[in-house]
Amino acid sequence: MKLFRRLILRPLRADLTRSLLTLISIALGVAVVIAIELAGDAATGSFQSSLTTLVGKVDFDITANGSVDERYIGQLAVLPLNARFAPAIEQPVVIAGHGSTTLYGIDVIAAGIQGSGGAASGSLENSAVVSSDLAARIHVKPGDPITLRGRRRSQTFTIQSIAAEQNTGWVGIDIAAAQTLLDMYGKLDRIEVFLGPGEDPEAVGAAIRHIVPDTYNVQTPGARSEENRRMLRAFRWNLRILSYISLLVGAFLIYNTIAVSVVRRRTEIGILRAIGTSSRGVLAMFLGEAAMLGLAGSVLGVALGRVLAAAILGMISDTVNALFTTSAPGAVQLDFASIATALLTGTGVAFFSALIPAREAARVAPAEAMRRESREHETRVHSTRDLAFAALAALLAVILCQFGPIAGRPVLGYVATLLSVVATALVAPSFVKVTIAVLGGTLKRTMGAAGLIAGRSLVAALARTSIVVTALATAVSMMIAVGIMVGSFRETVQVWLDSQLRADIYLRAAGPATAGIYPPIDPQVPALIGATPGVEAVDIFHAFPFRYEGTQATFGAGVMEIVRRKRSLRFLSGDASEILASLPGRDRAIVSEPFANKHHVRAGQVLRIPLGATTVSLTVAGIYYDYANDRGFVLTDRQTLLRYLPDQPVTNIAVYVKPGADAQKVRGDMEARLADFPLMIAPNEVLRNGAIKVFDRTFAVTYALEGVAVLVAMLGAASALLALVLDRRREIGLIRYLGAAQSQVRNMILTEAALLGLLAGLLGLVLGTALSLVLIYVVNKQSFGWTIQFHPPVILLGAALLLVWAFTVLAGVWPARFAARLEPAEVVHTE
Amino acid sequence: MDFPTTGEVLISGKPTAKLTDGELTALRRQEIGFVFQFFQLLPSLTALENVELPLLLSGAKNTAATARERLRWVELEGKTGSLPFQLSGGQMQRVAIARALVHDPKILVADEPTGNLDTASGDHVLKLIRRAADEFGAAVVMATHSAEAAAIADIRVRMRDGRIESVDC
Repeated sequence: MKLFRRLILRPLRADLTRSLLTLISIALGVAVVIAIELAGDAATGSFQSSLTTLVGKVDFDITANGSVDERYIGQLAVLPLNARFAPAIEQPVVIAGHGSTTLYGIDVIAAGIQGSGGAASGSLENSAVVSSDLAARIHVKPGDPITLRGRRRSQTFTIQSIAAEQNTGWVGIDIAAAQTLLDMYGKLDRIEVFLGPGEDPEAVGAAIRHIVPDTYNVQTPGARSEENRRMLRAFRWNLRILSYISLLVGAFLIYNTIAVSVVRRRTEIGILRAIGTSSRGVLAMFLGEAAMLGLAGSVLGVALGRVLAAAILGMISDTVNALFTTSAPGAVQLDFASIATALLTGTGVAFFSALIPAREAARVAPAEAMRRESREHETRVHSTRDLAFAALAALLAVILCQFGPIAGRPVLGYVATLLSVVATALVAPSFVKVTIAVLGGTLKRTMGAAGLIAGRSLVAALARTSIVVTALATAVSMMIAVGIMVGSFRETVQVWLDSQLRADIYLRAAGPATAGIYPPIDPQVPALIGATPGVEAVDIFHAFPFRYEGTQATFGAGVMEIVRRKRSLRFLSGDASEILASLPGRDRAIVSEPFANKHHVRAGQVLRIPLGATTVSLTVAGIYYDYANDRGFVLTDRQTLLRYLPDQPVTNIAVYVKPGADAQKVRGDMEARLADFPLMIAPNEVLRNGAIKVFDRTFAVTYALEGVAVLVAMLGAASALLALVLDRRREIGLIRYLGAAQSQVRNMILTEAALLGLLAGLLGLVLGTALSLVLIYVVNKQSFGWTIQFHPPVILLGAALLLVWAFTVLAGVWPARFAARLEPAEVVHTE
Repeated sequence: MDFPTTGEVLISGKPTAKLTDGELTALRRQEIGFVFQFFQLLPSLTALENVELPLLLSGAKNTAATARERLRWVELEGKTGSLPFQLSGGQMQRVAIARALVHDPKILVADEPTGNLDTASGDHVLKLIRRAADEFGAAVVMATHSAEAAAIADIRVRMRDGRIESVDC
């Protein structure tokens, strides 16, 4: 321990700046990992309906594609079971003057609702319970009126009580009132089952299944939450992998830090070995140094991660709700398991990164103690062998990309990514040598001595330079890869939006757009729109979530003749017009690419889909490109749907204005005619811009992760440059003896920084482009099922590369100033 | 490089302690050449580049040609592309002398130039230092423990424990 203190702790304290830079690098790496984990958990943690706080713990949910027929409640209630069956409606609703919220329709008497904050008297059908979150937002209290806008009419309720400690907004009313308000006579969203004490859940499940149609789903709320989590799995995995990039960059820097420690203390290690320290003892000391830095960095990282998690929770939660499913974000909870995982990960990464340099230290011979001066010892670089291994790693990466997902995850794609980074690390020394050799003449001509020495010094410390270049290149490559992927995706989505959004005006029920929720529109609306002067065509669309092979998807039905004429859907194969013309009047459907990939569906295949109480066989006429969400769509002509679900409400309407008509005027007329209906009426460009805004918000977290990885790499560059300066004190002093001014020494170090930036930029560009192909064609395709067209955002990437390069030069400013201020007389004194 | 704790060091009549960093840099760049006991060549530069370095630092023209000429003068024209580790101790010290003389300094400071060399190499180096004074007109200030080395000097200042014991002309 004493030895550890003297040989490891003292030098760490003496070189405090570098120790701190390393510590911060690990802390940032760990912080990002834990932040993504915590924010992800918080954003997706609460799938359970807030309804459970009103009615208690539900044992089973009975749901159906379309809606549940109310009459089954009566049939279930007479079963000789110790169980209670409660009807439930959960739909978005507009509160007059206050925007939208979730409406729960429940059997108030059966549930025996208790609120808090005082109760107001009122008849059952006119009473409402409001969540504390909503009450605080719209400033209401028990006894106040609340007006809800239904499909055809508005109704005012009296707030009977406030449900305390609710972190989402909702209003609860009696089931009958909800059915009247929402025009859902005889229909329910689900039936909730509460088991009595001692009742056998399996027996109850079997009895229920015996009564309800085969097409109905009987599942536990836990299973539903699990289904939602499964749906989010790909999204969370990709975020998680991205978050590990910073830690990977940090690993390179730990390697570098320990390697520098070993180089600096070679003579001391020799002395220790000469006086009897075992090589294992030396190994333990350096691994101890890494583990200590890892542990301290991780502790700092956990604290920082908790703060970061709270900061990004909103962004992740928005994405989950916009693209995947409804989920109320919970509080960020830092539990023991998360802390332990973070500490183990950070310390483990530091420990394993230090293995190679620590083994190098253990191999130092006692004769090293006799050295006259501490010369730079470099880890030997075996160029030919490394290049051969690099080629092997790259080849293996290419081969792995040819395989499909494992358990629904692009595991081999991730391994290919890691192998590409390994290949880059192995190529780095040769790349540095060759590039500097090529640039050598130019550097000397343009920058004189500073250019000449800068280039040569980087090659002289090749192993160390290569590590820094690899760390920086890894960060840059991830930035480029994700930049190309997101840029390509954005361009693909833009092109897709152009082909999809061909109508002039779009309508849906008022309220926020949430994935998987399709609030109905009053049935009178299409006719009112059709009668508006200037309207050429009205595409009426019905959408509702449905379950297929245990996962959620969306069933949609529109006027396919209009779709064929007006939109330009792109299909993976086949003629779009012919495919769309084949749908009306027949049990045929088209499916989106993500649906086809997820369920391995091909054109011509027959899908058996439960609709209400019937199972319908639909022949797949074609597979179309779609980027709306990764749940996937099955689309039929609306007449086909209405044949099986005649009461299925309209959820979206697209209006095409006659050529020459003033779209704005038509919209004005339409708004006037539809003033009594709670609708969102948007012109084409609003919808289009809204979609792109959601897209950009989705990838905001990704950019933030990239930023942290680059920041960690910058810290590494600064630390490495400082180490290079410290180890070349003698050389810098000598150059000063030979007539170098302070400014020339400064320029020399800045040139080294610029060269590091350039080398990392070039290597990162090559690796990043390769990784972008893996992300686009392997990881994304296998995770979400869609094809992204390759569209690299050249200008944006160029600007980002330039910025990273500028920051690398900036990272050299402090080491350069330090070098310029070194006392040249040191050379004489050491002699 | 270093400043006197007492007294003054005058170079061309100017007290060095009063010069700014820029003036000191200019002084080293134009008027002084250094030769060290441990050669102090930059390990990453070739023999030619090491010699060329002072000229590059001062922004001179035809640096490579001048450096090549000095290497020829120390009889190492065949080693221009060699890196220091590829040279013997004597050869390294000759490269260091070529570097010290490449910019025609008025003063050549040599600190134990033969201290790390065998006798034959040491003799060769001493001859070169003597020729530097004769052919380039440089004032050579050499510190040495060796009486043989001191014998080449015109003026010998004997020091003991930091004090001048005698001056022989």
